[in-house]
Amino acid sequence: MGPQTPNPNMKMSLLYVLNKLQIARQVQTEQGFSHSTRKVVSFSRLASVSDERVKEEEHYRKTIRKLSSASGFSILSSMDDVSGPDLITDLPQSIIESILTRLPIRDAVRTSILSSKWRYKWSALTQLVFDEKCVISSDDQCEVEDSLVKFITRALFLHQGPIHKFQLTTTNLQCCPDIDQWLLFLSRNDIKELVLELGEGEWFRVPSCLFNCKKLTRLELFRCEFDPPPSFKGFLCLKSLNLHQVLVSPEAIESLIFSCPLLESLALSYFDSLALTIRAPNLKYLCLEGEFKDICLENTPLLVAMSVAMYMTDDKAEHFEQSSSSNFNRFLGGAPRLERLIGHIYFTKYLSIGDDPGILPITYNHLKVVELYQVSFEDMKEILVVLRLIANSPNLNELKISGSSNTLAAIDAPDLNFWEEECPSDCTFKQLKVVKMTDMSGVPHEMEFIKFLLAKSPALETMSFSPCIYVMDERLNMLIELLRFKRASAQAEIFVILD
Amino acid sequence: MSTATVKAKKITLRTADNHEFEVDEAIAMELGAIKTFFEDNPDASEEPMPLPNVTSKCLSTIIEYCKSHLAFRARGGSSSVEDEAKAYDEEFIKAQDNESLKEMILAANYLNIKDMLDMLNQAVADRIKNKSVEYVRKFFGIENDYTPEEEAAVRAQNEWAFQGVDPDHD
Repeated sequence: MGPQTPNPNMKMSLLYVLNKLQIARQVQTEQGFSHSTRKVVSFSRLASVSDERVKEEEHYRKTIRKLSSASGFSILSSMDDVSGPDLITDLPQSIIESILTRLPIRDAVRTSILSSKWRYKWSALTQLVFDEKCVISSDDQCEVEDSLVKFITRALFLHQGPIHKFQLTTTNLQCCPDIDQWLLFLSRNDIKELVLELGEGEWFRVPSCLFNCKKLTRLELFRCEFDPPPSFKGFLCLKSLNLHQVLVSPEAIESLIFSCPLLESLALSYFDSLALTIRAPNLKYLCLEGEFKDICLENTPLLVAMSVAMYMTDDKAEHFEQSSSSNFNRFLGGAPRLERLIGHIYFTKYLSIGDDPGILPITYNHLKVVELYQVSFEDMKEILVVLRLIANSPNLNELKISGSSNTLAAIDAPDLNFWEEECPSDCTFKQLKVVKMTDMSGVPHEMEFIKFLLAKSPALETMSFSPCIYVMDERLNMLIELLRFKRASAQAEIFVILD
Repeated sequence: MSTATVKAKKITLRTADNHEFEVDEAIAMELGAIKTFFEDNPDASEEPMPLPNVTSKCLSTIIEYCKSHLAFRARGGSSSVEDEAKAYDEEFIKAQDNESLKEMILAANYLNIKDMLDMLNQAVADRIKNKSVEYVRKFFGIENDYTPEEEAAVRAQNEWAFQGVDPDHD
């Protein structure tokens, strides 16, 4: 039982008929529009298998051969009744919209020519997505820009009804007065999702009408200048905010985040020296990327996933040494429901600044996946951060760490009992199943850490280990040491991945 | 605490042509309309649920589809399972002719099966993407009722969207 596959012979004859129809159509369009009534060949009739299929096909072939040599005739169906049933025109508007929004917008507009009922179906679409594929490509940037502006303006002008989503992705447009007008139009039409990804060059200055879009649930801006007026009270419905290379003052960002009470997802990338305190009671997903001077998560009780990439320069790192408040607490202290934590370069260094938090006040009961990149296993404070983090995550499932140790730097005799000493004696990683250690240089604490994990993870399934590419001589020693370590988990498999 | 053995509950659906289908509760819950009904009426009687807008041929295809996707989901979200599910969808679509595609879209809409409806709508969109107007008309059986003057007027009004498009692009 199940859907039937079409008869291959029938497929061949269908293709034959299709080919002939294409030729006939070419003839027809060369002649311009036909003046006689046009009847449409119904494929659904062709697709049904019948005993008279062969006879029908012959009849079709004869008819079409006749037509392709004739001039100015439309394609006639040789069947008694006219066209097959119209399969789509009377579907509910919600389905038509669902289909048309999956087409490039140019195709959607072109459906206006299908029949009189279709003339304005496209204009009721509530989602409009524009990019450079809407217009003919050309080497002349100005021409493309002009065509794109014309396209969008006409589309908006002919549109009727609410517009819930407007997305514009282009490298061609930057600062352009038309964009202001489009935003004004959208602000009057219940816009809910707005994505503006503009080109390099002079950044577009977001007009004040954007701040009147009361129903906004999603806002994404790339390469814009963003300056809320003093009277701005926030987007009360905003759930998702993504600002990428946006010029905005830190106070404005902080108050923007604070004044969007429903905010669930926040992404900020490529900012310069941003100092930020985040107060977002409903925030679930946080993604930060850029040069951050200082981050404090003051009120983010529902935070579920976080990804942080901090591009610090060394002099900034020094500036931090003076502060005594623990960055660890300021950053992770308010996120008890965290499930995924991804920290890119400098993250552990940032967290290590400030006083040692000691026994942490909160346990990360939901934290399942931790990924930390470029952890320096020669910096005692950094590895203390790692330890505190995993020791307070009883349900940790997956741990991935990449090292960044400089083996040329001499280190004092490492206190190899550090791991046992600092970790609470009853600490085992009962749920830890997967560990991945990459870019390992074989410094003593790296190996001790792995030994510690293997000894304390009774449920471990895989441990994979990749030496750093710069370390060639030490590899064999590392591997030999690795093999010696005792494993608490009988089924733990150790994979060594060499480049 | 009492341990109750839970029997796999079956739900009966009656189609427009009076065929009755008995399906596992898990599959019936894939149909949004049925799920909502049972959520609102937890004490609903054991009588068969009437579906006056769905034929038996259509419902049996839908049930097969839901069964397969339920099985895919049970196997987890790995990329190989996802690829298998995609391949299944492609074969499924290929095997449908246009009429049954339309019937299924209407049924999936009526029964509120979101994933299936999205998949079907995507399939229809893929079939007409970048095709010429004539092709789309024939594909759906749409009769062109524009007079030549009207058609020219519409083309002029939307010339910004027809620019540079080869009418025979197929």
